[in-house]
Amino acid sequence: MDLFALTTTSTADVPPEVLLAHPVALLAIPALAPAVVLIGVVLWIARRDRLVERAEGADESAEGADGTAPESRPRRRSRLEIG
Amino acid sequence: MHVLVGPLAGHGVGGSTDLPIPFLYAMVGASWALTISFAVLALAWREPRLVGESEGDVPARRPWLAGVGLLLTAWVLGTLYLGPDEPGNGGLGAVYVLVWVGLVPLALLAGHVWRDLSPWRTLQSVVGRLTGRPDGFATYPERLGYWPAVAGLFAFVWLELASPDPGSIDALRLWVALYALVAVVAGLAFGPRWFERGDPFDVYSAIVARLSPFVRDGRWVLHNPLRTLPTLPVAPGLVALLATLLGSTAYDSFSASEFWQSRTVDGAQRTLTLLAFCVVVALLFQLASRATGGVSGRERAALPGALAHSLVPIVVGYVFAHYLTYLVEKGQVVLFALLEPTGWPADPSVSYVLSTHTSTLAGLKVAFVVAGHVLAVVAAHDRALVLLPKAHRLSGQLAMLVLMVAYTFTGLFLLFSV
Repeated sequence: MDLFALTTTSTADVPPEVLLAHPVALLAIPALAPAVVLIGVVLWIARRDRLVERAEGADESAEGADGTAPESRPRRRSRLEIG
Repeated sequence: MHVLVGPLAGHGVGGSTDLPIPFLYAMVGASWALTISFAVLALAWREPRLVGESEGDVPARRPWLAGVGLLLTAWVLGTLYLGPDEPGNGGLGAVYVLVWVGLVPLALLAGHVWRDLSPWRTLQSVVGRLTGRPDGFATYPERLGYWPAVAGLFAFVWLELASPDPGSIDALRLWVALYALVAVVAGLAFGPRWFERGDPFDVYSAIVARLSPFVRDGRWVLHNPLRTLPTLPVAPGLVALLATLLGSTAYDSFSASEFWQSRTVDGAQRTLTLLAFCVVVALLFQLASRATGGVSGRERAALPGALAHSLVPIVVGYVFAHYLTYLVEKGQVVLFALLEPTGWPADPSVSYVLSTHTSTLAGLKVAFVVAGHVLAVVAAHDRALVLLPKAHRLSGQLAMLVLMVAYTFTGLFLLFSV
């Protein structure tokens, strides 16, 4: 098999199906690594956004009970809204 | 594609050793390209831009093209049934190469011209006019969606890839006869709706035609194909249809691998493996497109269909990557076989233009796969911006990103490892 021929030269005494699995499984790690990092970043920002939103919601309901109009207050922090 | 024996058999031409860079780098690089595309889209593409462009008003079928369609069908079927009882029969190659593979570039270049060429549509239209029932004698059950076309496509890829003798002229003659019978009977019964939902080749052509940059709604208009792609009609079975096309292409590569060839497998195992490839592709897409928060159960169930159009560029990319050599080079052989009764050309010589430029071919294969996937990511991202609630616009696409990277990786591996 061509793929393995590129990665090793001693293929004679090992069954071909064993050879097939290893290099591909190993290759999947570098191939997927940037996607995993990207997913981590997106989820982290999304979680932070939701926490900020919840905090703002809690503030609004508390201040709304005091009679302060929520829209008259400036926003606490700007959010990335990356979702 | 087992029927094609000789210098074009197998996927060895333009294989992994012909790439200008090591194959391993190509696989990893392609996967990275996809992730980077997604990251760029996430930052720079924050509002939906690809609003569907379709007037929905399609011109009537052109009679001269219907005539050409009848002529070509008569020629191909005449050669298939009256020609020699051997794999060299031009009709056999015409069905597998010119019809099955040629349909894709035809639809990309000239739109859904199949609608005009289809002899079954012509017959239905004539009978419909004579009987005063242009829309057939019964209403097509819409709950069936594309499922009859899925069955037809699976039957065809099974014949080509997993049947006991894929090169058998008798098997193809029987298949084509059954297909023609179904097309005529169901076409007459349900009218043009049958061809829009049930005829495998007609539906395949209509789907690919949505990606044509030159034709929109049956008229020549240069436009951004990503704007016409979302107008693909969603109906039950759409994901299954695209998964059958993708899964069968993957199985074609897999079945040529040393791993599979060294095993003794019977017909049932081949059939089940082909089916498993299609089912796995469909299931993973269903799961990945539903993996989002902030939607109701009903909205979630509609997501796979609403995102299915993004699979079309991937299907087209893989068809070109796998079968371009067959179409260009075996296509010439088939053409000469079809022309044989006319005695022209006197000295047919096939130009192996791709097989003799292996580096270019290998590069093209990677380019087709990567381009198909990148277009898919763009189409899916834009649609996700419309479909998903604001708080889940990106997080709702992450499962699909992983799936797309995995498809690219696996697709290239299968393409080049045999």
